[in-house]
Amino acid sequence: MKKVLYRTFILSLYGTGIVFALAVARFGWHYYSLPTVERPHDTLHQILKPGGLWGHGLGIIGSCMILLLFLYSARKRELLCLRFGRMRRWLDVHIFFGIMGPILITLHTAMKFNGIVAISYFSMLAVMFSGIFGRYIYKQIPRDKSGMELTLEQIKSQDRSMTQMLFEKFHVSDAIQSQIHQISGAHLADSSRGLSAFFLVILNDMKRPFLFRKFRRALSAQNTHIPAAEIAHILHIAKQKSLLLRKRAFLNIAHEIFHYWHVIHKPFAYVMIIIMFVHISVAVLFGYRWVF
Amino acid sequence: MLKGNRDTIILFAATVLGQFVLASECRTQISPGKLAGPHAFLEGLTNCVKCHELGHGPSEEKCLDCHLEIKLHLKAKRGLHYKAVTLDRESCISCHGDHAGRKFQMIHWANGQENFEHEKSGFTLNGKHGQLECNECHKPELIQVDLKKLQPKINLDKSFLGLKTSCRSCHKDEHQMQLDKNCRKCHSEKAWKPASKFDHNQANFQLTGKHLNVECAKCHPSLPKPGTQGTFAKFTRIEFSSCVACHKDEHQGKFGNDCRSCHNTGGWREINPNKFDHSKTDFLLLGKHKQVTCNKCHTSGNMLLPLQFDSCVACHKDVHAGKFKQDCKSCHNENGWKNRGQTIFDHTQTGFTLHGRHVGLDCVKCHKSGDMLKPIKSKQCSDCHQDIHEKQFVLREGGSRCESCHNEQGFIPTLFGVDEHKTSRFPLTGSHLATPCVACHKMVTAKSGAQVRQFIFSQILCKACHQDPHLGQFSRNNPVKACENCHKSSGWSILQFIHDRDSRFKLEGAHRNVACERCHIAVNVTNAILTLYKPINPACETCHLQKKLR
Repeated sequence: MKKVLYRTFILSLYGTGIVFALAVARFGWHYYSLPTVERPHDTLHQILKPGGLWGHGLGIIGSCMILLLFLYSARKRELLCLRFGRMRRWLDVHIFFGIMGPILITLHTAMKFNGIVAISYFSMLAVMFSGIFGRYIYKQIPRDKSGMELTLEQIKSQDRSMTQMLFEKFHVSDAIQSQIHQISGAHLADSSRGLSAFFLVILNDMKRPFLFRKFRRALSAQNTHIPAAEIAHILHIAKQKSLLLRKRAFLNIAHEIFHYWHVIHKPFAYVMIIIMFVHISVAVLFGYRWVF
Repeated sequence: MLKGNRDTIILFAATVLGQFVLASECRTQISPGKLAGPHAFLEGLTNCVKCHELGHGPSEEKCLDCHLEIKLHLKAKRGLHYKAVTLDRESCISCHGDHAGRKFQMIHWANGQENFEHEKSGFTLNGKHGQLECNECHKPELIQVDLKKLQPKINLDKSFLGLKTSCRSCHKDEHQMQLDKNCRKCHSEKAWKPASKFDHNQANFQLTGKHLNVECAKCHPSLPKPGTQGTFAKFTRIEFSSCVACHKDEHQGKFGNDCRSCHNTGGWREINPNKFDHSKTDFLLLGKHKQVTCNKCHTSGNMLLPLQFDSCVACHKDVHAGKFKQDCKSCHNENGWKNRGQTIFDHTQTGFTLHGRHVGLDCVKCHKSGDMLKPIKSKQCSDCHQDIHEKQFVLREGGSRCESCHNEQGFIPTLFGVDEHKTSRFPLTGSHLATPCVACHKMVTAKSGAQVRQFIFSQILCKACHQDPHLGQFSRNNPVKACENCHKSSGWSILQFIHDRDSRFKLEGAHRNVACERCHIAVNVTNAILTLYKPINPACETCHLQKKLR
């Protein structure tokens, strides 16, 4: 129940943010689509220009969201006395701010990317997209409910329990177990390394829904005596097992890429934040103030 | 971990460097965008504060530090910028934003240049001005201010500044400095001609009468413009104190220079008879001639054409057909042909000399036909006058003439007085002398039925006027002299009656002392008391018996 409420809350946050951003975009579509040299003559210029009432406000909100992103890093390192809350929740918030912040900042720029602050903007985009990529890599490392990474033994233990359940409870044959292993793509880890292995992972994730659909049809056809609910249960365990097998097989590669991801994600974040402060300082220096 | 941090630092440096290389255009600036073309020279980090006030944003003062031509307008409190800044509370950048690219037009015409609300500039385009293209006025040669001195970078071909609102700042002075600088006093913006606001009544010379229809150029001649082949109309220093300044003196100075004494602006021939002094001519207007309209004599309408005026018949018809030798003045004068007041006609010429009241009479009283030449009877008064006595005197034996009682001095009073009455059959004596005529000559009805005063009596009897208190006691036997036997004209009570002489009964003895009424007693006779005089019986007992009886 708590999980449902939480998901609803997160979704409503995204919904509100995206609807707001879309509304502003729709309102200012005419203005945003004008050439730069014509914008100052438009009636919406005084509102939607980066220094306008709305534009400036969006910039402030977006910048605050960007700054709040760093709370996740602080929590992860337990800085600023941040030791509470699950990492998974902190990450969700981090991702929300990581998506909404750049959207609002994009509206703040009014699609005008000039000056040194453009570096900050493009860095921000790099951080955002690398964050999405990082989230994918993050998911390739098996973790417990609190978000803590599982040890190899814990992985093996989970695999054994799932295999045992399939055998003992659902009397799944070895052929099917082998089929699940085949779908997982774990066997590909032995023949590939580095980025090529990572692309295989991506490819496997893309193929998996189709493979499991095929697997479900075959399972249903061969075991007509098994109720559909039981088939679904088997399929659910098979998916988890398949994913666990794949993650375990590519664990070293995931760790390696995740390490390098940090190396890419952080510098863009630093560049973004430094130039953002420069931009804000210049703005304050030239007379722009808090608008709320 | 150490390896990770090292990699992070290396990648950070590479990222920054890469982005600076990629964003080459923006690596040297923090500007939000390129400045517009006219401000391009202000590009660069070090120039920000030339327009922006640190901590306050764009500074209007800094704008005006460069844009002295605008500052001049604000200082003069006029023009579009003054209105925008002071009244509409606009800032410079609210209209002239920047950082929108080199090609950004800093002067923006919201509804198109041609639809600019020019009244905002303080000069509303009315009339023909509204039909002009902008550059027909906003061109370098009409700019009145040295904008280049104020703003060396200004492009005068594109500038809308520096024009003044006075007409002369754009228009040539067609009047060559003759008139007031305020052209709007006479001209409107609808059209140069006609000068619709001009009111000649406001000028020193007001137009009236025929002057209203005269073309301007008739009085305001065209003069050559100095230095050009054009001309201009002369509007000032036009002599108008005298009519001859414009008009030819048709009289050649004969009547002086004051034309207005006879003429007015209604027309040359519209001469004011009340004003023209005809005495300046050889013919002085007198009497009724003063009332005659000019063209009655000057029939040609040309007052200058000499007229014959040595004799009246030059103008007047001789109704006497030469009978009186056309010496009209011997009878008539300018006061009127009929001259009803005083005649100067010598009536003696007619054989009937006018005397008395005849002199003042209107001729037609007698000459009733109006034709003075037609003979009328004048031998007897009755030829003209009515006989109000109804022929009492005419019928009298031998007739009678009016002049025996009346003359021309008047019908009343008559010439017939007391003395003349003596010549009548009844000379007045005694109390009759003091008796008014009308007491005896009373109004009676004539045979004609008219009321007429009676002057002729058939018999001269007392009773004609007096009553007989004796009721005929004495007139039975002598009706004519009955009264006179006892009474006189000097008074009724003065008797000439002597009892012993005039009666049959002489008073003797005691009778002498007896009062009259003891014998002549009063008796009642049909509503009257009559003193009985006769007949009285002379016998004693007539009285005495009565006495006894009484």
